[in-house]
Amino acid sequence: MHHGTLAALANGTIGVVGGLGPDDVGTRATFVAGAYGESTDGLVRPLPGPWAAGVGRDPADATWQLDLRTGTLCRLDRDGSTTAQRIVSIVRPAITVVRALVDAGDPRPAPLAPPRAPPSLCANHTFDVRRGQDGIHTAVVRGARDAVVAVASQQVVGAERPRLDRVVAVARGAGASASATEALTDATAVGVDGLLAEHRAAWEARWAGADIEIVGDDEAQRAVRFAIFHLLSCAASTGESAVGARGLTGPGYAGHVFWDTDVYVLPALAALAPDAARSVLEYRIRRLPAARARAAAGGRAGARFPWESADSGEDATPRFGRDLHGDVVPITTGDLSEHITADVAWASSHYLDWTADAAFLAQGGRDLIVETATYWMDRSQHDARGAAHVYDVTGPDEYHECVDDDAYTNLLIRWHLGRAAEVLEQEGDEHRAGALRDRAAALVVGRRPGGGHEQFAGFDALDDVDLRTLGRLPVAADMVLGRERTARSKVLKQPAVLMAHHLLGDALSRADLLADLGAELPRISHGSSLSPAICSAVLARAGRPDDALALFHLAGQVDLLDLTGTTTTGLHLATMGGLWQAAVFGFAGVRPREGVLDVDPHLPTSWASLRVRFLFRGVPVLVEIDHASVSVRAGRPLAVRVSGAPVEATIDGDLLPGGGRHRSEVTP
Amino acid sequence: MRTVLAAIDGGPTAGRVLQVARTWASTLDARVRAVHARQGAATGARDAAFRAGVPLDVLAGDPPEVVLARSRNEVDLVVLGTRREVDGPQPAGHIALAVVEGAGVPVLVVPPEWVAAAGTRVRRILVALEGSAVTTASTRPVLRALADAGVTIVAVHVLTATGFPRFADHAFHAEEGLAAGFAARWCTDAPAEVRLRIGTGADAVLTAADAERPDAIALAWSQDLSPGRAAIVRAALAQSRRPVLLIPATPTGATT
Repeated sequence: MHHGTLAALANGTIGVVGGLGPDDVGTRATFVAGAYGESTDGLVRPLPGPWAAGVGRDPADATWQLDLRTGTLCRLDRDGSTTAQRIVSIVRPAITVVRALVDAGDPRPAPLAPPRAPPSLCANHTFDVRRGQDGIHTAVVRGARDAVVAVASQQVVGAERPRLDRVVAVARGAGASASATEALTDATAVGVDGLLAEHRAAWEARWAGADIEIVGDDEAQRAVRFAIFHLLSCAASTGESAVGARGLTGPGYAGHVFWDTDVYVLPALAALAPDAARSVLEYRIRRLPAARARAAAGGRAGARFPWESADSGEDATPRFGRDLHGDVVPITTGDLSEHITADVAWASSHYLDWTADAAFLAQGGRDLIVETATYWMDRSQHDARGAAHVYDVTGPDEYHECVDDDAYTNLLIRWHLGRAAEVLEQEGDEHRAGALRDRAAALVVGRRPGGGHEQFAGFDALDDVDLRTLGRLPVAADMVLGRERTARSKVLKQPAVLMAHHLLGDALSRADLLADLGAELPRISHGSSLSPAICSAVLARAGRPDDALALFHLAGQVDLLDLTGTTTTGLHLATMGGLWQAAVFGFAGVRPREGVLDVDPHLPTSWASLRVRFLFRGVPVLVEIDHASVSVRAGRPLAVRVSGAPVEATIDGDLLPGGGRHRSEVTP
Repeated sequence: MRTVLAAIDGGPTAGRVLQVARTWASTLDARVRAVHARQGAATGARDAAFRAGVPLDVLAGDPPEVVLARSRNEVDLVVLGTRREVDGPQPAGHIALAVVEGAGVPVLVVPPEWVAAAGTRVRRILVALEGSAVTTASTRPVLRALADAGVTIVAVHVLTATGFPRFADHAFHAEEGLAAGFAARWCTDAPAEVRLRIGTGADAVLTAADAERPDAIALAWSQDLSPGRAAIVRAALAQSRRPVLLIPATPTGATT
């Protein structure tokens, strides 16, 4: 591992990055969910937490091993024995534990070193440390709006080969000091042996319901498990989870929440950890007032979600940045990437499809779908012929800003209005539902004569650019061609119409899928790390799994090989979510359809078999696929279709670990 | 203790070179010595050194040979002035070129129009990094010494056609992330503010220098000015109105 972020551990509440020793101050940091501070440049940035590590020196030749199975980071010496380990407890959200052998040459107990100021501390954040008479260190990072408190204690145990056990508790906000102290007291009572054991048992239980096994492709196997590990680590199972683009694995993207969370990360959570998916949606629900205010500020009805958001729910998108010529340029995504409002609604609906969480609509989910649809009713405009348009937006393909009738945006809005109409019809509001359906029908999505969709109005008149002239793909094409020339060309940053196919599935025809795949894929430069996995999923679904596999591998390498050059600022959670979706929605071909689990697999030739575990409507499911057969096992009776034919899932009680963790909380 | 060697002639630039040498010596906690290759009466050089309070060695011989020989004697940095040769066949005077090509230590070339900012310390350096082990290793000792002295290091990395990022996600954050990633990989020993730029190397570096207003532009180079080589160094010597710190690039980075 060459980046501290590849050693990241998180539990949805706190994330710890970097090595274990006192020297690794360059990358070591703790990130606390929901904690933000306003930095000197005026941007809201994640408020880092103090970390009371400094347990022995990390040798330059140390080997780091991230044990995905047990959620443990281990430091190994030359003979492969473990000299130190760290967990971020998934049982106790406030707790991290470090256990390290005391240096052989220095048998004295290492003092509990006061934590150093986190390296990513902004200039206007303060950092204070004090040591109480009880030997417990307390450290506080304070920003303009929030504070993070860490308390730590340690003891040296064992006479023959002494080891240091250190427990750190981190909390934020009002009462953080008391909360952290209480968490530390409870954890200390359990003891480090107990804390490690309960954490590892919890991880084993997670994997039992979430693993993907790929036989015949070790690289893909490693990548997909790495992705599942971090997807399961990024969100808490209670309250709200603001999952930033890099989660809790680094300071990148200022901890801000984008559509990455709603359409890339959430689908995996809905199928693997529904409680965590619910927490992600709770973040949106609690920011509905801000979304309503944003719509109202623009003179619109309904609710409009911001492109980037942090704690307040107001738009946190930077307004200006410097381009690579050093010139100050406006950043327009905050104003124009309005599709996120439909993306949030899509995430809500997707969660419902996968979990059948009957309480969700009444708990705010209804507003996420209906109030956002109301926004589109106001935002779209009829022309003289009665057609409805959405002008001046930027779709997922950010190489073309401020376009009219973006196909992705309008296809999502069309679906969104229809979904909201269903909710209104269930409420008995036929009149309003009808208006939404009428608007959906009137919404313009450009079509090509031979089938498929035009990316936006005027796209087909743009310049053809042969992607092969851009050099090795993927590439940030706008840097090669320049922004203006890229905008005049048909080069796409990432799937646009294909993204709509990916999200909407059977709502769009297979003929259109094939036509759009043929037209759009050759124009995609994959200049976004979000791109390869989704293209892989679409290719697999279209029956081209071997073509899909190359992009699947590419997506899997994004962080493991640091293809972006930015992994040091955090892991790309959306890419990981896309990778999971490519495996499950693409290769395994798993989709919910009207309450039934559809399985229509497309296995790459080089894969001998694929085994996928997930929860569907509260029922643990194992889908086993090879080139000769498909079997579906379920913890309880489940309606399933395999390649279009209804089948009965084999009931397998062994799929119900611990009596079925989610049964009491999710209505089947 | 480090030594900064000011190589001066007897002309009007001598005082400015000595001033710059003193500024760098003050920053690096070094002593200043001056050297002059005598080709006649050394009155001008002696007067300039006397006024600056810098000990002067006056040696007979070919000026480049004198300076290079003296630089091999426990010297950490050579400072010399140069004539402006914007449209000439060479980017600087022949003495300066001979010294920078032959020196085993960094050489700070002071252009004729440079007027040091008020104050006695170096405050800000712009270093061009190509993102290679050789460049990083070569510049490491100098940058670390400057960083330890409180000098702000601004590293500019020019993205070339073969080095464009494969991915650049959301606006603003992507550029920040790329800069942070570059810093984590190539600027680990001396903290640097990284600026990523696009364009031809020389233009991008000089444009960045205009924007950043450093006290010098630092470049690691292979000390080879033969045709087709060292384009950025040539451009910097010919066009920069700020001192140019040329650091010999060696595979080991052992630049004293």
